[in-house]
Amino acid sequence: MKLSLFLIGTYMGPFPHGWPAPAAAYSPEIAQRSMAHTLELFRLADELGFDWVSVAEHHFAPLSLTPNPMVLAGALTQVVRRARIAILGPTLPILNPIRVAEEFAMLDTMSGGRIIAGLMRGTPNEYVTYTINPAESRERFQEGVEIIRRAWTEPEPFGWEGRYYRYRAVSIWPRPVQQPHPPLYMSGSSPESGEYAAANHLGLGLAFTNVPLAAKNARYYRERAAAHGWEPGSEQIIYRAAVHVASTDQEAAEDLGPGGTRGPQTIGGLTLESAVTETGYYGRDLSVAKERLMPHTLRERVELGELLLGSPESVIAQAERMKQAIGAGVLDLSLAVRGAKMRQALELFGTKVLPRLQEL
Amino acid sequence: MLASAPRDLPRQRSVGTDGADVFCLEKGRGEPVVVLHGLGGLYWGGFHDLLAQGHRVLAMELPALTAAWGTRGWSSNQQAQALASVCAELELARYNLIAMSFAARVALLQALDAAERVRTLVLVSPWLLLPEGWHLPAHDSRSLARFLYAHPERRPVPWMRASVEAPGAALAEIEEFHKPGREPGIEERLQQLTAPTLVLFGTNDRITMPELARRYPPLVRDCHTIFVYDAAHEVASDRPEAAALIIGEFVDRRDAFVVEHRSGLLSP
Repeated sequence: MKLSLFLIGTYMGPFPHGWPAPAAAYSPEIAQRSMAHTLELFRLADELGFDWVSVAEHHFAPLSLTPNPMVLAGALTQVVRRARIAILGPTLPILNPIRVAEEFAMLDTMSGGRIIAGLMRGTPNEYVTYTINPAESRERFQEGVEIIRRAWTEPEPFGWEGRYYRYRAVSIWPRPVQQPHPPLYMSGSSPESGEYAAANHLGLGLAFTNVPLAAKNARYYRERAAAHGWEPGSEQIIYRAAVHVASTDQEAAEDLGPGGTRGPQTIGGLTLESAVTETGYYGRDLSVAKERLMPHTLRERVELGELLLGSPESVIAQAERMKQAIGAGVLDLSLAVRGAKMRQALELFGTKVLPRLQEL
Repeated sequence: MLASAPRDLPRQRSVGTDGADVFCLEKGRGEPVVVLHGLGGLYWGGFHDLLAQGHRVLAMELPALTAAWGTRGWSSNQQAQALASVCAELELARYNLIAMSFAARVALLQALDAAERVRTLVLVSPWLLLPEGWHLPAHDSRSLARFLYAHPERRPVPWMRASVEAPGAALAEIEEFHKPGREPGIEERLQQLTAPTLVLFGTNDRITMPELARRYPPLVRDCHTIFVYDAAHEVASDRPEAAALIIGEFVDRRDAFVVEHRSGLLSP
């Protein structure tokens, strides 16, 4: 199994309420410390032997100081020397696909061919970010994927007349180092996405979900891939979860305390989430949408496989169960603790758990 | 099969030339645009109507492809000469030439022979530069239709003529006629083109794969290639608005069509 450390560059200061979050009390000093801390953790992960480091895109909130994950990935090409750098990923429907293609190509060049390219539809609030209609999300995404693939592989200048995008003369420089292009993934938490990923030979990313739902999505993806004449490898499925390891199970639970209980997973608030859901954004299966809004206790989160928590042996057992249930070959982990505790948690995971999971 | 006719009909005419009467549908005013059909046959649809809003559109039936649906011994040169004669008969001093599918070879020859008359050349899903071993995916019209259209629900009904679906034997003959190497010198002829040239491929084309687009810029001096998303071989049927827009802009602005001229202003 491949292990990935996922960090979103959380602001290490007070969180104002609401989204978009007001920046009146924003501190540049805190933000600089937060960014330096994030880079240091990634460097440590590389040193500890993580296979991947991963970044994502979120806007207008202290939760994440990476509205452009490509910028952070650029820094990582010089900080992380061995591990692959997974961008999971740009919110394609709200972006310029040619720009996305160019950025990935730059990063692959700067990193010596270590980029993993995830293309995402993003969390619902992101459609407010750049004023894009979420009802058009899936169509924009699918067209964007094709444009990016063409931009990476066409040897001559070309134009594009799509439904949402128009270009008259494209020829990107630099080109990706990896040929024909970096490994491509997309989020696959809906049947529609699973079908598209299967039909187009894309890897599948499963986040903001739990093991039972992810197992269902992965099963469907494999079935559809078989219908399209191919079989995904285990490394073409990524499962994202949170993790916290301590000496004992009890200590791990106490470390999280009340913060281990999760409320609705919505960045933009319930009203916005509801408005976006009504556009058909989630597709015909609303399981994921419902799951995101359901609060869970610490115990429920562990039982559902959203959170790997406990002693090294407990976490290893939980990861084994996850792998058996979903068949994911990449486990993309965020640290469940915050701030200064993160380094210690990462070191413990890296020395006591990581090598064992890599053997799975 | 006849569909209900659009309100503003194109004008029908036959123009006599050596050895054949060429059937032509015409509508609109302005810069003349001669459209040569492909495998989908002669029809008048949304693409033509949209293009005719700003241009004089003349959709012509290829001389060799009348009701007999066979090459009848017509070479590409003979067809090109016949069409050039028709254009002269119609008093088209200068015109823009659009060729769909297998009409590309005839259009290429016409653009070379009448270089002073052909202002721009547009090749849509062209049957030029086909790879070794290329063949049609089916030889009966019904099966072939699955490859012609990404959106068969948008397929225009040829209301002006009887069915243009070709019998299987004719399709095999057309395929043989256009196989790579059948008429040598295509690459050299493309290199001789002086007219600004636009090449369109549908991203879902399984007859002329879009990867063939990359063969044109190295050969054609003044060449633009565009992929039309979610269109199969019959680009103008699947995405008539997109095809009319690109081709109309290319005809009007030629190489300058790469520069956006539409305002991005949201509100004054």
